[in-house]
Amino acid sequence: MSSSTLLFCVCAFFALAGAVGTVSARRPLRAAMALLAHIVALAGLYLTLHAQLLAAIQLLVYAGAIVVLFVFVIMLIGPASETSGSGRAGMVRMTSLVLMGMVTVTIAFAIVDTDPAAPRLPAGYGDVEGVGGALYTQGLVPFEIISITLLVAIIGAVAVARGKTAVEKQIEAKEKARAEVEARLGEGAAPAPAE
Amino acid sequence: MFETYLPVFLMLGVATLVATLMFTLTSLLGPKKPTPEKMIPYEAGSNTTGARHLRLSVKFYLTAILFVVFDIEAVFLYPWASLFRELGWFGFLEMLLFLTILGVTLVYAWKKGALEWEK
Repeated sequence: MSSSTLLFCVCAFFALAGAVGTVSARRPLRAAMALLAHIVALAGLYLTLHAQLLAAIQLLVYAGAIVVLFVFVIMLIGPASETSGSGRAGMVRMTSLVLMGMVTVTIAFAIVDTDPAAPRLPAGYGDVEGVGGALYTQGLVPFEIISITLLVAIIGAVAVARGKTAVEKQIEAKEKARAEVEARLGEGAAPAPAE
Repeated sequence: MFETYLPVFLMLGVATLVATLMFTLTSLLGPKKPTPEKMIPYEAGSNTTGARHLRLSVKFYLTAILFVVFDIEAVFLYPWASLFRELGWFGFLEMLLFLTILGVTLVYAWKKGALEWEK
């Protein structure tokens, strides 16, 4: 068994174990840790595909930042998220089984179609210069769209975390007006609600 | 290629081994004499107060997502920097546009007060 086959087997095992743990763990934090194991194993699988830069970015962004974000969300939601009691568990399972079957069949067809005598990879494939050269010359438009996507992500996060919806603003304005009226009516009327 | 990454895998293995050994050895060797007082969650020596689960403020989430976005921005700078001379002015202008849009993002987050901690 060559070293790359060994690496593939070890990483595939941990990736599958992590994926199963992610969907089957009852506690959200344990699911997040299983996701972390899956992401690290996936980085190893990228190495077997000669995608070194992608493996590094996988560790840097997904294992470093995305999992942290998930843990924050779990801590934000709190213990209410620990109960997974829903009456539609059977339907969800059936749907996911069907979807998984579809993905498996697609992958099987893709594997059948591949030419086993594929040409050798060019030198520098998948490393920093190789990916960068492809991204910054041929992938110009997708690269610029990334920045706009990031802008949209920030607008969404700020809107969720900071912004007030139109309904909230209306309610606020109404309450302010009511407080002014009650203040004008004097001491005899009901006291204005505390801010 | 895998010989290049052998040190990484060695370090991963050693780190896993050390962590596993530490946890298993302490649980095997450490004396366990639990009393009801010892099983109380420790909170600065006094009796615990408040709820079991502390809900975090949404501020932490906002900070985390800001970190993710600018982390991804930094990721795209690495390959660009290693190809800076080959790409020439075209690559420079390309990255300038990318950074300008993300600069607008930063200004937006700043003006909205997303960078302020107390509000």
